[in-house]
Amino acid sequence: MRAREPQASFEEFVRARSSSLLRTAFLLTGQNWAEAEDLLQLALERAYRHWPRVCQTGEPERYVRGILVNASVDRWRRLARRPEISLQSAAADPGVPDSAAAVADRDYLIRAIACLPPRQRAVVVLRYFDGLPEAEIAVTLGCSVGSVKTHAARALTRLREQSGSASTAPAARREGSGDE
Amino acid sequence: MNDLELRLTAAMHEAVDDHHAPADLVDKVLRRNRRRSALTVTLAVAASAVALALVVTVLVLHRPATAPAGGSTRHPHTSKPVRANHGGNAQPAARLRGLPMGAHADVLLLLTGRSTGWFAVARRSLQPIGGLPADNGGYAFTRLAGGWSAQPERPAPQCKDDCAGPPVPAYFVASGAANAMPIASGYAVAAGEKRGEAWLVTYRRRSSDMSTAAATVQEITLSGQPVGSPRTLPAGYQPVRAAGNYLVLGPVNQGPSAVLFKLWDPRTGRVVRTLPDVIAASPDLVAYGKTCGGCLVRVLDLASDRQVSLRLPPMTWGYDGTFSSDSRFLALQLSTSHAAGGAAFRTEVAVIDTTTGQLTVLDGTAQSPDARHQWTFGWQASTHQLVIALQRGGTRFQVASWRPGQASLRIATVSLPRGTYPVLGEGG
Repeated sequence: MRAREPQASFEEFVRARSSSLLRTAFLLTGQNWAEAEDLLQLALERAYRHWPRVCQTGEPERYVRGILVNASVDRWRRLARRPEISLQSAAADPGVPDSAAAVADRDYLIRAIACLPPRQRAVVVLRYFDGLPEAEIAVTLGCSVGSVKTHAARALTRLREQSGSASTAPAARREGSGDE
Repeated sequence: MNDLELRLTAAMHEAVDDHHAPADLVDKVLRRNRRRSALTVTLAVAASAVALALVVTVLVLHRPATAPAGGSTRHPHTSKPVRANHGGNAQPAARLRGLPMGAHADVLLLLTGRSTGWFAVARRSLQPIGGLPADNGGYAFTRLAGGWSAQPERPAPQCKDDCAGPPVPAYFVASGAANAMPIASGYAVAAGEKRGEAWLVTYRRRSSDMSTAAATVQEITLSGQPVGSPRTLPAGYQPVRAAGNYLVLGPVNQGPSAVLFKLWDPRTGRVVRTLPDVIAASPDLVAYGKTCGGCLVRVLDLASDRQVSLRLPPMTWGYDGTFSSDSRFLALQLSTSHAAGGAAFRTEVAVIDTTTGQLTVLDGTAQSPDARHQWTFGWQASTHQLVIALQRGGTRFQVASWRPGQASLRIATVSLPRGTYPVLGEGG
């Protein structure tokens, strides 16, 4: 029975936290649920292998989140070796485009987050989605609080620039469609 | 929080809060862990059996390769309107559709992941690739003339944002070969213009920020011997491959708008052309064009500096393509939207004959961009046989082949070794 205790604890953790971690993984991978689930499975498998030690830290979620972040950075590096599709063609939502400004802004921001460099994206997701304080993000990423602040500032600058042109970019594309 | 931070928080929550992890996640993780543990034990026991199977497979696989079909003029001379051969209203399906693949099909898949090897689809047999040191992270492959370069997947670097990290060894695996040969160590390897040549990419420091630092490229032979002197690329760019006398360079960071590639002359160190959204490049052609509905795909012939423009059907756009080894055919992903500027609701594989400009959309490949698994495709080495692979769940894959003139796909469903996946196109 003793041998099963870690597994029971692990199952309890997965049941309680997997949905939240999956959402984080989705944002880290850039809008791909299949990749997000694979990434989460990988992180949980690694955590399970060392579960007693992970539990000793008292913060298994931080451990798993750290694996998610590092694995997503690694994945990005693999993709960076070949050309990626542009933001417009990466659009995942099928159907007729929604003209509501708020929805368009949300979609544009989500896609813009996916285009951030991996560490900046991780900081944005951990800070504004998971709501973690800068100190905890620094521990997760293995860097200083100052680096977290720098990543966050750079990311926000980029997003602000892209968001600023978002209102004109789609319109320009629509006008340009059908001809170059 | 300022306005942007509030919008970010709201956008992320609205995008994902309705999604939940699958109920069987624990089982999947435990199964995955059991497989891994079992694999370690089984590998030792199976080593001798695999060695025997290897010898048999090598003897069977080393037969003459299929000669390219067709084979008229290699370079585009005329511009003709494109033509789609498919029913325009075909609904996306979750699987590839076609006729069964014959028992003697010569489809050979390069597999990576937990193990690397050549998988013969007709025989359902795997020939491992020797000479690649065991690596838990698997290998990343990049297509070169006559084969592939292989580099171990690296753990996430413990350094700054976008940093290059340490160089890693690169190997050359000739198409269908049983053994890999070491090339050199670097950040990446890009295809050279000619067979037997490649470009090795390095950075001055491990901590170099790739999005702002200038990479160094060195032309090398596949045995690692330098050819000429090293060159410094424009900052923030990496080579996609050599094309003509140039290198096609892509930006490390790609923003939301059109991605600007550069055609760079290593002899002068100058950019000779800027190309938006490169779709594919070969030793002598570069296909590019904006990813917008009904826009043009331009194919630039580097030898003659002539360019052919191909107009895609309305509401469609092409991207993420790959040329056949002789540059005659360009296979690409064709997306269709309901309205100009709208999101894609259907994606298909299409092939452009660069000598005639004819576009053929492959029946049976229609897929929703939302599909859980997306197909990948690439040309079988030195042939005009296009291979498409689609994961159907777990280890099951549909593998389809198509040749120009064929009305439908030829499909086989195979079970690949656990933890492996096929490498097609330009690599992965």
